[in-house]
Amino acid sequence: MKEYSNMTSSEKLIALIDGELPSEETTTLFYELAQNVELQEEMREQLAIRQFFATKQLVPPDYLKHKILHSIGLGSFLSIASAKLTSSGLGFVGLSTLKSKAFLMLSSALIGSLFTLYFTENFQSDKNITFDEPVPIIHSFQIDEPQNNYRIEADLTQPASITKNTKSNPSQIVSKFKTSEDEPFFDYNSSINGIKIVSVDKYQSQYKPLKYRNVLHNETEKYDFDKPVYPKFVDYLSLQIRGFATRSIPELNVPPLDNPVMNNMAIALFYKFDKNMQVGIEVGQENFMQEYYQYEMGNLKRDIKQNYTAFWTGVSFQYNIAEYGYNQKLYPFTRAFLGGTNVGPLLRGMIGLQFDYENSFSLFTGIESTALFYRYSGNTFSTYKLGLTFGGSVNF
Amino acid sequence: MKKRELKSISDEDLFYLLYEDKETARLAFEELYSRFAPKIYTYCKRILQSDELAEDIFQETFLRFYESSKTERVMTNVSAYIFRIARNLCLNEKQRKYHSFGQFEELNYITENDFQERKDKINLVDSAIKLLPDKYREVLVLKEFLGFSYNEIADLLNTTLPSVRINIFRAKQKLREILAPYIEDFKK
Repeated sequence: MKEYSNMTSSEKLIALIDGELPSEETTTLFYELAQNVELQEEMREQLAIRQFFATKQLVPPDYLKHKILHSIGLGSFLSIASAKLTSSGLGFVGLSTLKSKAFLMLSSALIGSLFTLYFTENFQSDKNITFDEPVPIIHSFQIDEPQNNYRIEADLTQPASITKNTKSNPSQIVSKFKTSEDEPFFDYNSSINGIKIVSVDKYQSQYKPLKYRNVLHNETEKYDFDKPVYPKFVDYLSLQIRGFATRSIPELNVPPLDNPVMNNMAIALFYKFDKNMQVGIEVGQENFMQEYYQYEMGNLKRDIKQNYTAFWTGVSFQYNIAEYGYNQKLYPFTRAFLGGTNVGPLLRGMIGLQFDYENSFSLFTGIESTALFYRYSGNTFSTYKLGLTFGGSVNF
Repeated sequence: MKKRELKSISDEDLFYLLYEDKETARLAFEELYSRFAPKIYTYCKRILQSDELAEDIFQETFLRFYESSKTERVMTNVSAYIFRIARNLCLNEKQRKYHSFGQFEELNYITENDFQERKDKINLVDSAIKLLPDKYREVLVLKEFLGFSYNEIADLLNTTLPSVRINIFRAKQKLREILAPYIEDFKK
């Protein structure tokens, strides 16, 4: 204990606060503390300062772990997918990240396509329809007959009441109004069971088959519809790309963890059920400001702020309010998105305006709000974004 | 071996599991990472005072640690071992790219408005710690932020116990001196 005999009271006091003073020295120090007012004040001050750093420990960002695991060859698929591009990470790690993202996009598209195919197979079969099966009641349709070199577009003025006894199917309607191969005859006043022909266009060889949409309107109806003509599956698909300019809530002055090239962008593949509804798979990347805390015994232990670059994927449902638009080409729409990131679920709502150019290309713009939820230390935190979005889509 | 079972294994036994098959090695490494990452990361950030540098050195520390498992056949103290790697890398980095730190008088940018909340006081103490000389800041970080004992610090820094004690004492005295104008607010 000789070493302690050379220490000043202040030195002993620090050792005591640090839990490093032997018990025999503690007794002596306590006696001195009782006598020495200055030493008491010093202790109070040291304890006051200490309470503001005693428990604070920093937590490394998750992506560092994934990068390390990947670098030493112990990374799993997830760790590769989570590894982030850094300023020096344009090498192997960055390449792997791009590959994994491409894989995720393709696999998501494949799963979505299979789901849609299954859905189509079960609800819009082009098999022969017998009397015993539910029959779609046609509200509108378009029929392409390349061999006859023309198209008929028709619309129902009221729900059709086609029955077994009615000899009417799309091919019969076509033949009824056709008088020659070159100039289809068109009679505005004609109608068959509520079906009114509204236009007849000369078929163009380069003209793609348009949508022939039917609606399962009343399953009790029976219809002697031999083999309806449906377009190919890909005719319902559209590929969309969009960008966004958004503001984070909370807005923190924190630089992003990394700055990848394809940031603040999203790509989506949509399937159009009809003129109103479409469902798609969407992938994208953007930054989220995060601030989250950890408390211990009621005291703040950690306060972490970061600008997180999130790669996200999920499902979007869009509803086009075509009835209230202009000429069914410029119309409002709403969209809801449910997806996920590496850290938690992502929800998004959007309203906007869409303009369809012919049947092949669309432009849109709107406002969107996004919420990202994530967990830390047993608590759920959230961060939000609000801003503009804009983009275009190509219909196949 | 399941991840849950690794929780009860000592650091040294986990280190030896790094020799095993890839899946076992991965689980063992992840467990060691979860035990030491916050401390190493805190140490790197506090010593280097740069997020970017700290992240680089943090990664390099674990890479070297894993590489060493291929050559080090005897491991008696993983904690001390990995900290030595981190410390050597930090020292090399500081020698390579030396940052000069402000003197105590430069603390005048901290204003009275910073005392509104506890968070601000924590930031104030952080700022004060950054102003400490390197040798004081290092022992303070090891003691207060990473929870090492005086003996462990002496072992890590390859120095004597009295030297550690006196450096910690001086670090705290300096800190008290820097924060003297605000000490009454800290007591509230």
